[in-house]
Amino acid sequence: MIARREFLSLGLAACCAAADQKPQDESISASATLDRTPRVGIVLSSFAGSTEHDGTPVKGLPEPRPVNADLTASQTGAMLGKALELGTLRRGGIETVVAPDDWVFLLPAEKASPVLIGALLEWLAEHKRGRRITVAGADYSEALLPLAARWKNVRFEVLDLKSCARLRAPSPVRMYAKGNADGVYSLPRAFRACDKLIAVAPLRTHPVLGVALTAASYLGLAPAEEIRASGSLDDVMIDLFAQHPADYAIAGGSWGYEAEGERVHHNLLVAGPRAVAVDAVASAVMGFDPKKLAFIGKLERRGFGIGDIDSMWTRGNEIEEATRKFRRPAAWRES
Amino acid sequence: MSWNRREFLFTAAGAAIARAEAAKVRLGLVQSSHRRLPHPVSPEHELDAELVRDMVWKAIEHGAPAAGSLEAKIRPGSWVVIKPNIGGLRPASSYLTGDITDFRVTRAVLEYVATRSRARRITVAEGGTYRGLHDPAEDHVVMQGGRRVDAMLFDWGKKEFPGIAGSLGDMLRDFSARFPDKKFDYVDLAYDTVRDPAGKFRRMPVPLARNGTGAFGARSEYFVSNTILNCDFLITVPVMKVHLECGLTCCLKNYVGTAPREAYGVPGLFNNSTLHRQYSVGGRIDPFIADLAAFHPPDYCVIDGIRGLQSMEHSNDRPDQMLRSNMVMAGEDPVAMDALAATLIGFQPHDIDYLHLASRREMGTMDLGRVDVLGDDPDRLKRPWEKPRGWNGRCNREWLVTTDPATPVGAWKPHTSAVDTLDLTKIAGPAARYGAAAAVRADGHRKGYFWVGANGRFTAVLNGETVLGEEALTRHRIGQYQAAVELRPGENRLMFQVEPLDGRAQLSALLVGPRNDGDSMEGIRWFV
Repeated sequence: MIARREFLSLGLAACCAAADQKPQDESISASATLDRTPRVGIVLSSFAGSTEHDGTPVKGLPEPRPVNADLTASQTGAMLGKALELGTLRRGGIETVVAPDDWVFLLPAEKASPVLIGALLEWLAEHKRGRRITVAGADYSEALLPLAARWKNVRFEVLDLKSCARLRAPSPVRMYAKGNADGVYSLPRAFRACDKLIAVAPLRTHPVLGVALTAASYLGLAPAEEIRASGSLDDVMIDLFAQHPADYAIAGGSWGYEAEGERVHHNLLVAGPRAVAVDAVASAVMGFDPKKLAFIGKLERRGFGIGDIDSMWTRGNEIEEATRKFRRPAAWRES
Repeated sequence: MSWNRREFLFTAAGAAIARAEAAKVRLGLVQSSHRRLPHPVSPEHELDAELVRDMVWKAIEHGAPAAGSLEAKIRPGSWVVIKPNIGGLRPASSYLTGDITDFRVTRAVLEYVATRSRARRITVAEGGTYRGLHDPAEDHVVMQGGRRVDAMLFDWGKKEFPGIAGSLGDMLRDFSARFPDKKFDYVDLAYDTVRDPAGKFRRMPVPLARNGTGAFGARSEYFVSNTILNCDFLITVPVMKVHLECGLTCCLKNYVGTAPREAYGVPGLFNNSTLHRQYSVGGRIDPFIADLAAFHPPDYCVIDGIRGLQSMEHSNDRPDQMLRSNMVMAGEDPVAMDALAATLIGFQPHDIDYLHLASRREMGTMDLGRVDVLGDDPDRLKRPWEKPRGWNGRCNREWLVTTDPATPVGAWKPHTSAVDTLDLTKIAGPAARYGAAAAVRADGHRKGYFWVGANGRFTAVLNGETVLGEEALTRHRIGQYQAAVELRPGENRLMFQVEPLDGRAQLSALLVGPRNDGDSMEGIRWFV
């Protein structure tokens, strides 16, 4: 049996990716800039280095720690830095995606780690990415205070999703949820106005979706009654995602949540500019088959990227190394 | 003969009506179900070459030019160039059926010109994102069945365009055999740049329109192709589809394919990236579209509206992107043709900026009130296609501006902006605070959304009520800030106050309809 990365190095996956509906005997030699294969960074707290599938060595973390060890803020920061370094597109990673004069909207999912959010804010400020950074969720006020004092040229703000200003308006892009065909949602004005969106979510199982990762963080944006009235949860989630697809996605942290919400200590980050790819890899790490998660297939079909893990490049740890099988919620049924 | 007063008035009125009718532009619109076709079929039918030919020919008949017919407009002995959109070939990852002009439409136009006109040479010309056979570069080389191919040699098989098979070269060989007195050929416009005597690519100034209008692009001189410049008669044959940047790609946007890629490309990227980078104005590509068309405006247009792409001009990897409409349009006014196409797919002509620019060059009319559409009823065929993500119509361009908002608005200076964004710091000089005002006349009570883009601390007041206010620190983006608004019938007043932040004060304003999709609100007119 060969490992996934070996398989990729043989070039077979690339062939699989290209083998769509088009005739096999036709090809075009594209320039490197047209390479849209997502690179997904996978970093355990124990990451001590690896080799890319083309043989390039990847440096490990300065202080590797066991995957179930408690981490300091600086160790979390180092893990995050490595995940951001490895989770890129051909043209670059988060530093290419987020410009210095962007308004960045940070969308943490329920139970996202404040330490991780703090590390991400610190990274953005240090790398001069974003002129205004809004964090959705009142829980993150404490993480912002020291940053606001340190980085005076960046406007940091917390957005309380319970009381923030909202605009109820139709979606300019096509919507699929049957009960809300025009996509009329009351969404935070800051979400509608931001330039870039970064979704952050812990590894978490979900009774309806199977897993609730970065795409599921969008469910926190609309009022619960609008979500319930609009249609199936995955359709509504994707409709909300479609209103501003994440420009960068980070799944993981120190704690995950399995079965009915039981905590799991597993220091892991999965990162990249394509939320679909990140969610697919993160779900595979949790022991789910992404092909059997309905929302991944729907995101793919709606043109938001590749969810087939054999068609993307993973960097850092192997999926097999990072895997920690999460117990399924009792109510969840595989599609 | 003596006329009484009533007879005189009746005759004079009739003559006036006749003159007005004669001045109207005539366009043909034919759907596959058109009752005057020999074999009408459903709009969902996949069609074959014969059905498409009947549709194209009927559209050309309905959309006869002022000369009486297309063949009457083509002078004997002419060199006719047919310019389809073959911007990409199937192996490209961005290709999806509906991306390029249906070969059956190109073939039907070719056959019409060959059969009916006395043209001497008929050329199919295009320059797409694929290397020519002689090009030593290794990127964008297309291979098929183990051999290197280009647009001329690429074999589309039997499925892509049902009813015909093979390559463009096969098609041209077939016509050469059928019409031995005419010459049929293909020119790859990507390698057809006008050169100076030393053999270097030569930039050429945009020709002045009869009314003196010159270039709109950021630069006034372009690389152009010999074929477009020198042919006697040019027929643009685009596919109708949505475009990420200018909204609609059709008759005029088809000219971007005439810009030679050998001159505009950069190593490793065989496209018109330099054209986009050097010639766009205010983030819009519309200026260079109108400029490129000015070198040889279309003498006739046939639009392939059989299958097109919504949402964007190339594949977005979504299976529902391609829409079948089974329509063909024809006419000699490219501006009117594109305005009609825009309305058919759910845009407002007013929002397509290059139509304004082409109208200013007197290339045609974008006022569909001055157009007669013969054949099928466009109102029956309108269907809203999905707009590109981030699409916005044409923002207000007519402003009153001041550096002292405390003064009466009547004293503020009028300013017409060439682009969507009003750069207050640039046009009014440095100041601590700016005022900008505009007015909108609504033909009734209107609901919609007010889209503002800004740099600086601004407030927006509509009819005395503050509707938006923000400290806009980040880069200017059209439609960044949105508010639900209602316009009253008649005049509505908009006032902005802007304080610069980081030394910048910029504004853009757009009133969007109730779908909030970036299209201008219907039934309104901006003025100052």
